Amino acid sequence: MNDDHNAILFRLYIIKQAPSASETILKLKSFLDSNFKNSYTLDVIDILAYPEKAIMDNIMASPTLIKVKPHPQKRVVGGIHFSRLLADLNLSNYVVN
Amino acid sequence: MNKLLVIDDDSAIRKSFMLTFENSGFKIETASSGMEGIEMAKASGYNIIFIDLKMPGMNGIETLDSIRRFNKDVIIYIFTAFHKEFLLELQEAAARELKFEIVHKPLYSEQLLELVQNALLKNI
Repeated sequence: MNDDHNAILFRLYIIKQAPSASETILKLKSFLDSNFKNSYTLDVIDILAYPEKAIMDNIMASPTLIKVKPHPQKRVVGGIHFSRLLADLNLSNYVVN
Repeated sequence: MNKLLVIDDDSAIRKSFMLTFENSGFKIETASSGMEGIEMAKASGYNIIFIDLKMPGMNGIETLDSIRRFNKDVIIYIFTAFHKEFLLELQEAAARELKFEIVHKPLYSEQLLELVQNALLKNI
C-alpha cells in the first residue's frame, strides 16, 4: 500500500444540470468513500460553465473522470464503470481497507 | 450489432466517422441534416446519436429536442467547440432537462472509439 493517500485528487467533468448528474456524483462519491475513506479530494467541474478549465485539461467529452494525483494522470471518458475503475485509474494499491 | 447515427452537415465529418468505425463491430449511419436525422431516428433504433451543434436549418439543439420527444433513452452526444458562446445554448438546453452529453470537435479516431465503447458500457 502506498503511504501517500492524502494526495489522491480526482476531477470529474460533467454537465451539472444534466438529469442524471446528481445521481452520478452521489454514486461516485459513495464509491470513493468506500475505497479511499477521507483520503481523497473530488473536484466536480461543470463543463458548460467552465469550458476554459476543460480545455486546459484536454477534456474531449462528458463525462470525464481524471485521476490527477498520484502520477501518472489517468482518465476515463464517456462512462464510469465501477467494476474496473480502480484498475482503469491505476489505484488498486491505494484502497483503504 | 450496436448502431450509431451521425447527424452533421459536414461531409468530411460524416466520412471520418465511417472510416473510424469501419470494421469496428459498430454499424454506422449518417444524416446530413437535422430533419433527415430525426426521420432516421424515428425509423430505426440507435445506441448512440452524434449531433453537430451548428448546422444550417435545424440546429443541433432543435434536433436533440425533437429526438427527445420520442426517444428519452438513446445516448446523444452534441459535437461542439468548447467556447462560451456555444456552450451558453447548451446550458439553456440542460436547464430544460434535455438529456445529452457533449463531445469536443475535432476528435481523433482512437478517442472516438474509446468514447463509444465506454458510453455503451456505462453503468452510472
